[in-house]
Amino acid sequence: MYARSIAQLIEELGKLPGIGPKSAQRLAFHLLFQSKEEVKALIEAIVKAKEEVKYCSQCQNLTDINPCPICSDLNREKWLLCVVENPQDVAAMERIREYRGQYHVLHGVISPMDGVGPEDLKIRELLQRLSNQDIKEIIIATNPTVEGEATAMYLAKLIKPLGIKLTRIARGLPEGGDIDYVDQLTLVRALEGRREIDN
Amino acid sequence: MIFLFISKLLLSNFRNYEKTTISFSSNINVLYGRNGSGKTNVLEAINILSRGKSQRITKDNELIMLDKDAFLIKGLLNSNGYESTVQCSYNQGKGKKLLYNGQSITNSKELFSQLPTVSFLPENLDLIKGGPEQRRLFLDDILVVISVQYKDYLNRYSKVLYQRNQLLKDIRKKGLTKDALDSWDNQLIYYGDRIIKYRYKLLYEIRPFLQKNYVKLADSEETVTFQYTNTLAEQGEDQYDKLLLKKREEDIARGYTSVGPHRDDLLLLINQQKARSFASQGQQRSIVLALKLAEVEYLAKILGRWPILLLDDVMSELDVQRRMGLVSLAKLTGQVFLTTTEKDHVPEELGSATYFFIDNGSIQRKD
Ligand SMILES: Nc1ncnc2c1ncn2[C@@H]1O[C@H](COP(=O)(O)OP(=O)(O)O)[C@@H](O)[C@H]1O
Ligand SMILES: [Mg+2]
Ligand SMILES: [Zn+2]
Repeated sequence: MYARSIAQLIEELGKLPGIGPKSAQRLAFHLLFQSKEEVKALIEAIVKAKEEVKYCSQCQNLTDINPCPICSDLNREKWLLCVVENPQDVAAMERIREYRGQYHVLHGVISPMDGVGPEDLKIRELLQRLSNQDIKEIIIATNPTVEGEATAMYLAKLIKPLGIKLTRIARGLPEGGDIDYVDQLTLVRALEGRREIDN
Repeated sequence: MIFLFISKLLLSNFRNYEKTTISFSSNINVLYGRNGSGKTNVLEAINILSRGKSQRITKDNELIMLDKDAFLIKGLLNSNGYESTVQCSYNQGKGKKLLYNGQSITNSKELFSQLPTVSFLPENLDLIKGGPEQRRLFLDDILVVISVQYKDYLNRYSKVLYQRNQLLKDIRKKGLTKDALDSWDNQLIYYGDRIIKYRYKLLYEIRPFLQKNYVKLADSEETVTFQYTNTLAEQGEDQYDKLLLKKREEDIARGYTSVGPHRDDLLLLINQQKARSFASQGQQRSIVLALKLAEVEYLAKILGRWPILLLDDVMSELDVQRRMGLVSLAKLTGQVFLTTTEKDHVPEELGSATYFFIDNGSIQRKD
């Protein structure tokens, strides 16, 4: 058995996603053997992030300055909007450095079994944005899970009547994948998601 | 057609086998021994080499011999004289590893197409009497091993269904708007429609095999066939979306989706009558045996090799005539493994069978 304060630390760490009892123990002992300064720096970073990070009033991404750097970047296209599930998806899109439009972060997908409905997502904020700003095209980039598809369909139903051009990212082959080596499932899905080539 | 058989099997710390190597016959292998001696364990090991997982249990951990921390199953295959190896190992710390000729395999369908198997268990004999889910499973089990696409459709369909059923309950209890169903119905129809088409196509392909096998097994001329009970067509509505809409209120009240491939059934018919109520128990068993053998022939046609037949304890459930019929038809396929507690349940006329006596985790070949 551990001393009460150690047990409590393990318990708190174990509440984090992806951290089981074993990892929680390992992290706890790692922290205990760090210097006081190092531990203080970690605590300060957590508290600072918690206090300063807010939803961007435009795109709903997490940010410590409002509007966020992407929304306030004057060089980005104002008329193009990409709707994603979460902040990690924005980061992934930004890494490829191809997309130069705006984002909107839903913070989840519709999933009845997790008790998540449309009202729990940043959809109201999206519609408000569409009525205030001059958006000409929306790319729906939710994940190709059944929940991501259901969310995309729900959004399409809301947006279509507004007369804004609507597209859905294709789920397909990973870039650079030699067809021979691509996992069979990816391949059948790519075939399934094929579209007509228009020139 | 490639002639495939397992020539050697090595088991190490698997179930009640500490370390065993057995050489098998390319024809019929009869494993006999008392209850609990380890007969089914051998068939399970072969099944794992074929499918990458046990069909008996879900936790690989239970397959490891008590007080050990890893197991290994290794099979030496012979296909038209060419040898290859398949191997499955599981280590408590490192997890599972599948190898074909020393190369790692992640997709279990690749294994199956090298080493296809069809299992036959006593409970399969109740296929006609049992619930519709068993008959759907009969179809789905064949389709998922031959089509990655079907497996994906089926997975996605059951996820959508699960979400939709939850939403139906939420609408009833919390008064959510019914329009919320639209975005799920769309996908339900997309996958459901494709699942049904795949099932029809499979049935079309195995229909001739069924009749032919039945005639040989039962030695009588009744016509045996089946009908796919499509819950969509049954409602007299050929449009899936319209039917779902028509059933919406009823589904909300029940909290359950009432139509679609998850409610369909396979109706077996003998002389155009329902086998369930018209056929004798003996006839029903002949029909099931004929259907399983039709599965074997269909897989052989698709994969270009006979699947290995794993008959676990079925002899004791059959009368003498049907034992004879089953064994003589099985002989026309590829390699067969057959377990029994009573050696004399296996027809003497068989001739070419090789016998193995199993006793408490040890195997003795009786030549
Ligand atoms: N993980 C395991 N470790 C050791 N023995 C096992 C394990 N799993 C099952 N057994 C033993 O295997 C035997 C059952 O084997 P099985 O092949 O099902 O018998 P049968 O010959 O009746 O088909 C039982 O005696 C059981 O105790
Ligand atoms: Mg058994
Ligand atoms: Zn922003």
